[in-house]
Amino acid sequence: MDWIILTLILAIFCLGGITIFYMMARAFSLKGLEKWCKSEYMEILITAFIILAIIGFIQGMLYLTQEVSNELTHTTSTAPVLGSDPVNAAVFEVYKILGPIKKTYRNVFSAGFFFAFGKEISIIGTDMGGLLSKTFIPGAASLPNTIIGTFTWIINVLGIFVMWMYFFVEVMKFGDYLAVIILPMGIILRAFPPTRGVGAMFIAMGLGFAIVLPSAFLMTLFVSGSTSESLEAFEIENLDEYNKMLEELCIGNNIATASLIKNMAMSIDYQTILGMFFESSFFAILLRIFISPVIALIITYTFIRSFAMMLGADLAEIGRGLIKLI
Amino acid sequence: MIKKIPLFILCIILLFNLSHSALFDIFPDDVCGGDLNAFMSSWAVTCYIAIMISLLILLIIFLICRGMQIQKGETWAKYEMLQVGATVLILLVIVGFSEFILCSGGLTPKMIFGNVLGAGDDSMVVEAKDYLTTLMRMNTISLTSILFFNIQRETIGNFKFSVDIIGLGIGITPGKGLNSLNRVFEIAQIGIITMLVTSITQLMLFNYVYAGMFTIYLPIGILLRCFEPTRRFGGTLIGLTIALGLFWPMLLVINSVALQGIGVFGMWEGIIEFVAEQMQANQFINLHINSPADMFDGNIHTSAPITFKIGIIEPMKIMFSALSMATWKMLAINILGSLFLPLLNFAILATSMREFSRFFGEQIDLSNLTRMI
Repeated sequence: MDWIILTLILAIFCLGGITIFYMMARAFSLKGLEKWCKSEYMEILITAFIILAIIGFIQGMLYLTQEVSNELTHTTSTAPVLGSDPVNAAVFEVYKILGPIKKTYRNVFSAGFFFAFGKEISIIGTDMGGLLSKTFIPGAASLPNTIIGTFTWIINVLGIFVMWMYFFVEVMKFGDYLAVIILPMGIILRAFPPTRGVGAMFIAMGLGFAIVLPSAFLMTLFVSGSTSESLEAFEIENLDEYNKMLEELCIGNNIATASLIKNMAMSIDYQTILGMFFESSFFAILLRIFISPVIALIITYTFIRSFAMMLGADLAEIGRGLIKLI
Repeated sequence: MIKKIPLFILCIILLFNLSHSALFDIFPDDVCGGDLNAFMSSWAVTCYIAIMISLLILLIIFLICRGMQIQKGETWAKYEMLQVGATVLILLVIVGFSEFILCSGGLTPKMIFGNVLGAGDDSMVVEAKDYLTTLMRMNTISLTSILFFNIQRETIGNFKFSVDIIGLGIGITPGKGLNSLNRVFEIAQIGIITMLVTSITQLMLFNYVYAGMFTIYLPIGILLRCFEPTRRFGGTLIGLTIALGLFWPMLLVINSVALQGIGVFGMWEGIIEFVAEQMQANQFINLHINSPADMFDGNIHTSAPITFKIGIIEPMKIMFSALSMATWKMLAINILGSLFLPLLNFAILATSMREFSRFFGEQIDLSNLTRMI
């Protein structure tokens, strides 16, 4: 609640400044200035209402987020599980989601590494005791590049997903920290006519990033049923065996192990592995989770734009231009 | 009231003169750098000359009108002198704010944000410039690391070994599986080059603002604002200078404080250190750099059993898996600092430019500007 005290001090400071202007206007009989001061008094009154509305809004959203957070963590207790900060709750959820995704990334990369390795193994034979020429028996010719390509694609998608979630976490943390700075600044800037729009934007951004963004994310997760509890890492069958064979190749009989790896790489049922991945609940939940931050950011952007306009910023054209720029 | 206007104008000029003289006292060489002092005095003097020129022209018009008994012209000249007075007031406000923002003896991030991480003791401009330089450095080091890392990966990925003893053997490409990371590094390289360009552009624009806005655009704005036909355009230039010269550093400092507050820079340094350690410690790379033959136990030219050195392939796989994950995380952090925040700043700056220009003169048509960008 520090920002509220700070904001109130700044609002009183503004009130004092305008009162001085008002007294000057009365003393010098400047009707225009007197009228302006009166309108500014109204603006400060509006600012006070805004502060009250913000406090109410934050309390309401915190309560709602707490409820959703409890639901996500399956807690029946009414006591706060993750504190009252929705950002903490959202970051906690993202990290829980990231665990199985990173494990899947490692699994798929490991398996893809083995298959690509097996595909490229060549057995060297010679005729005439090696005196004339060497004959290379090529790698697993029956293993099409598209299979390896599909594994590569999955790794890329998972990597982009991990990057996206890290980015989202940092945006939420940044927004939470930013709100403490820009909310009081927004209130004070809004008190002056040339900076009214910027002040309104600061207030809207502070609330948007600290409250709306994490809350919207948690609620989207909750509504879609894509909780961290339902996400389990995708396991590839025989992965330990593949890894063991790679180790054996390093230690023991090269040719025998290499032949075995090559044969195995040729005989693996890739269609089944890939089919299992794309039909797994992991993939379905992943897609829903991927969308959640996008929806949360759209909600936040809409909130910032409309709330800032409500408070006096003129963003109609800027908003459209900015989206085009992005 | 209107009869007192010239006197009022003269009072303001005197006040400005005094404050301007005091300006040199506020910026002694031992407090601000000599360059900053010269910079401040140069643009302030130019603005002062602009005011004097406009006042002189109006006084001549006023005297002509008085001499020729043109009442209407006399009233107009008086009104215009009042506008010059308003411009002087605007200039005084700008000088006051710029003292706070530009001078190291003025407002510092520590004074605003308290003793929080990232809030320095230097002036806002210096802190803002430091932040932009840090971003550029961050992107440069990230790009160098990724390029180096990618070169290593590509070399290892295409390295072929064939071993045959008495005519029978194997041919392997141990790092072939690393090709699945091609796209990761392609994305990372393109992304970080874009971010590097963005951060360099920001830094250049920042330098330009301080080289051009205060010394060229502001004096022109002040001069133009003193005359009726160009008043709106002059006000717009003044608004632009305030938004870019005074408001932008503040936004950058806010970004810097918030990023350091959540430990983004520390996290990034941790990733870079991790990447460097992994690259140096990797047995495969060291062996490869020294001699490919060192990868094998035994002599390659004899019939003794030839084996790969224990633990070469598996650690290589684990290392590249971890490094690719670190690259994704590094990208996320760089995107936040170098793409997301500039866009956020652009939205705020656009709003402030629009409002300041409307307040001092004519509103800028930003919608067309953003379309053009």
